Amino acid sequence: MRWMTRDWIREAGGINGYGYANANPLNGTDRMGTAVGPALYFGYIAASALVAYTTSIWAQIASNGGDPLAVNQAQAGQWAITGAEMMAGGLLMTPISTAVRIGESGGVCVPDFIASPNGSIIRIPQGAEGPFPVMNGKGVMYTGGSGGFGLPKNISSVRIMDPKFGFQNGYVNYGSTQANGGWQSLSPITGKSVSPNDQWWHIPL
Amino acid sequence: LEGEDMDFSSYNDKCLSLIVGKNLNVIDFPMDYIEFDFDGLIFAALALPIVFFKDGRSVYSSFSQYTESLLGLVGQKVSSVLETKTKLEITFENENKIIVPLDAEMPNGPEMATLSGMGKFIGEWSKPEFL
Repeated sequence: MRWMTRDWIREAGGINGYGYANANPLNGTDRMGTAVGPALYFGYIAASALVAYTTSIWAQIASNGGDPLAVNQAQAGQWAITGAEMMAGGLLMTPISTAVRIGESGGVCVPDFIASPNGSIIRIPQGAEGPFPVMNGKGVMYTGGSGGFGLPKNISSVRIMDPKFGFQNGYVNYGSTQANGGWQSLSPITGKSVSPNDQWWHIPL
Repeated sequence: LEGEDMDFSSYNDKCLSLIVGKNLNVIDFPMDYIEFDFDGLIFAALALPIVFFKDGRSVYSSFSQYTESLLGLVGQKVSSVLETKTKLEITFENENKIIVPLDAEMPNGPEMATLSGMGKFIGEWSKPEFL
């Protein structure tokens, strides 16, 4: 099985840019073209762990008045593990037997996050299903999840909208379903409602 | 609504027509935008709509009677809608109407209105300069 277009994560998905699930579609899925080949898989995980570890160190120094000796290495280590887990979860071409959700659409493999062409990370709410097309065909959404991966628990859905002028790679809007069934846009940081003028309503990719 | 089996697939670019024949049951004022509940279809006007009355009066968001004018539409059934690049027009059976200006200055865009319901995001309309 091959993609109609080149794999948009390019060589990270394997030397054959048009390959699907490492040419093993019976044991893997790659609906979004995001799965990577084994050569870079562990490199990405290690890099992600290092970034998370370093970020934790700097965050602690910034919050403790600039004292590097007061850094909690265990906390930094936990950040590194979480970063590695997030990267592994997002990149791993999970076997169908453990990852496929059997739904009305016949089952899809939902990644933990998606990387945009310019490297932005779109976190998918834990347990969400998708991607489902937005009804007017101008994007896709993952829905039915709850928080996870740093997202507030009340965030159940994310919609990834098509490119527009000024948003050449599209934009992302996190939200949830209100009691009346309508969409409510939420901040992926606080989980609170956001204004259409807020930066979190249109998160550029 | 016929429930969760309602088929939106044929409404691509004209999904506002889904609210024709629906009653405006609730108007909500979350944050700095306005939500209209049409029998479970939630139309969010992110750019504040203008109310046009049959007698020729028009009420803008800066007018003191704006909220009352909007609330006066509750209970009315939608008779027709019009979508253009610069506006969304919703006309009620009593010939009063609301118009959402897609080319308004605020919000800073691109989304100027959205339609959702029954847990589904149905569509959005953008400011013309972003198209």
